[in-house]
Amino acid sequence: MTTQPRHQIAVQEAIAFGFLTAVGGYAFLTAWFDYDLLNEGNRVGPGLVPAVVGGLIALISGVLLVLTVTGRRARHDHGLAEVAQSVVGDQPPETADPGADAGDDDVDIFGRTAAQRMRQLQMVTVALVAALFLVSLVGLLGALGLFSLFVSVVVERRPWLPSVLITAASVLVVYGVFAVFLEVPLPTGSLGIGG
Amino acid sequence: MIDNLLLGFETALTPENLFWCFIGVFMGTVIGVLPGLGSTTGVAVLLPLTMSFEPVTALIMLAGIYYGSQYGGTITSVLISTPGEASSVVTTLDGYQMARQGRAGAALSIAAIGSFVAAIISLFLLILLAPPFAHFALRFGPPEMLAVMVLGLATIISFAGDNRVIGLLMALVGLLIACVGVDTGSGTSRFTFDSIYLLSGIPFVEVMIGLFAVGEVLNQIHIGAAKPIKAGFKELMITKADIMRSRGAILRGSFLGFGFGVLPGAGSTLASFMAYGIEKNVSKNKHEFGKGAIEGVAAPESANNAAANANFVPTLTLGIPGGATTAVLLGAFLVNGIQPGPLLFDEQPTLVWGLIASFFIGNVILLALNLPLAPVFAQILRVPYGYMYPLILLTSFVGAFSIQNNMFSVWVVLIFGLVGYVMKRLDLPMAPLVLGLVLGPLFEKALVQTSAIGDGSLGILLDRPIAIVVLGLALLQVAAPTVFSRLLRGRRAAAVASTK
Repeated sequence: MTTQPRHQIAVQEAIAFGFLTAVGGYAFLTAWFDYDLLNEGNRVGPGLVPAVVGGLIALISGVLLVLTVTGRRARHDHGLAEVAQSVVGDQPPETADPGADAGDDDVDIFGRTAAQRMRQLQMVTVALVAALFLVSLVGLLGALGLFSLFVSVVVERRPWLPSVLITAASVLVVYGVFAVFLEVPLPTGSLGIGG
Repeated sequence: MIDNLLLGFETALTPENLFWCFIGVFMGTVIGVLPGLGSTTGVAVLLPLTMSFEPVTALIMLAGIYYGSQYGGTITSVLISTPGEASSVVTTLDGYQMARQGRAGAALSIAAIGSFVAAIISLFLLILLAPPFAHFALRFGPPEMLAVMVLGLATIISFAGDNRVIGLLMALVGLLIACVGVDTGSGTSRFTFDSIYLLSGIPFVEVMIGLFAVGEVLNQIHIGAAKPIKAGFKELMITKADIMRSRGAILRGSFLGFGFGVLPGAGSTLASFMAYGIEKNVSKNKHEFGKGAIEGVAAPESANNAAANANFVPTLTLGIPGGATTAVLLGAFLVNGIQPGPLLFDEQPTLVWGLIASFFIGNVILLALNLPLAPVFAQILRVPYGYMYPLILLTSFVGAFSIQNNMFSVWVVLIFGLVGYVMKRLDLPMAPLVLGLVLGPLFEKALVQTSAIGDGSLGILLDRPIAIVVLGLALLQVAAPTVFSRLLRGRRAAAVASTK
């Protein structure tokens, strides 16, 4: 498999580190100003841990952000696992690791390119959010059933009849386990589906 | 001890517990076979199903899921070179090569046998070591517990893969997430944004379902499907020569795995790599490693299974999880109103020994189920993923709802699913985040209590010998990689210079 372009990864990392810097900074400032760092007798107060943790997150992420943006971030250091490996003379295995990436020229067994898979991922994510907003109308099982059907037929382009049958069977099993066996009061929505 | 074990078997062998143990192992195997999904996901996704059970039944089923999904992950490691979790990564090296040579069945069989032998050895060690360790841990006060938690975090950061700084960052993120909600010591609401749902904190199980199940599914959509290698019933016949070749590897892997697994915060992954590396050095067939050596499957599989059992030593005796999956199991204990720790063996003997006895039974079921049926489970890989993942998502979200019966849980799963996906893409380690999240409340509680005992000073840590030793070990964990790598570099440079 080919790898994702390094500049693309760097941009994604910079966004992630920037986000964490903001979150850490917010936590630090909030804890510092809104909560007591120390209680009576210099005992640890409710603000100390979030302030220290938030401050450290902001500091580490900030440094990583700067190093990533300036292209000076070392991508590897020696953890114990690597040291142990080098002691026993083993090399890291090459596997189809879930974290591994496919380039644009890489196709899976269904002939989908990386770009097509990314589009599918975006569609699934949007459909998932839409389904959760639909819960108040068609209930949890109704919304997630529609989501499953949409993904199978539209996103994955599976034949519609097996998709309908598999979705219906799955919804029934989930209904049986959760609503009947475990007696979970699943939200039925304004249409009263799946209660 | 014999009495306790008998009590345990009496508990675990009731028809109800036996049935749910079987269901746990079976469903765990099915979940583990789904590409990329491992034991943490299996336990997190199926945890909601156990909410209405008796605590001991719930934990027995979850432990069955743990074992089942670990073995299921081995099936995907061998057949599509896609490990369910980090501890199975090294299995892909020779397991996948064996599969390509038409020996998938032998690889799966030796993995099942090795895992079983390792499980039995490590369970005996667990039974021998856990009670005295729990007894010793009764001496631990807040300063010692604080030190142990620092050790746990230091260990997991040290083993966090490529970058310890990133490991530390993720552990801190976990600790910060754990800060959300009402502070139990002072009653102060922290980072709740006036939401009543956030008053009790960000729910742990929902975060796990999001990170591990939804995040992994989204990641699999991104990666795309790999073609599975067919494993037939005929290929399952493992030869006597295979077993003779593997027996040393299995024994070495078992003891090594247990040794690493008892460390709080680490274990299976390092154990599997070490076992593979050692086997590669000591084996008569070292030239076959990486090309389909059966020892290359037997050693890491034995090691990671032994480590998985050893993980229960710190989990049960200290309440500090050994790894990500035991962290979720710890969450299951807490959901059931049970606090693992030194007192657990005295206060809940039926539960603890019932659970330990169920480990034996679960592993027997696993072996009986998987030796003949591994190819049947492997057929799941032939079902198009396009049908499978919507169902995983459906079960995950409904399961999440059932934990607290509110939609807040469902949204938490979605948000942390996206976080999990981003973490996967950027190769950010999840285990430190999970440990930080689990240890957060315990860490803060121990910190507050220690400062109270020390009249506002943490200097009391230096007056307690056990705490000093444990903190010293933590320091060693953090410093050791740098020291060792410098030593190794120096040794290599000297070797290169001498050859010139």
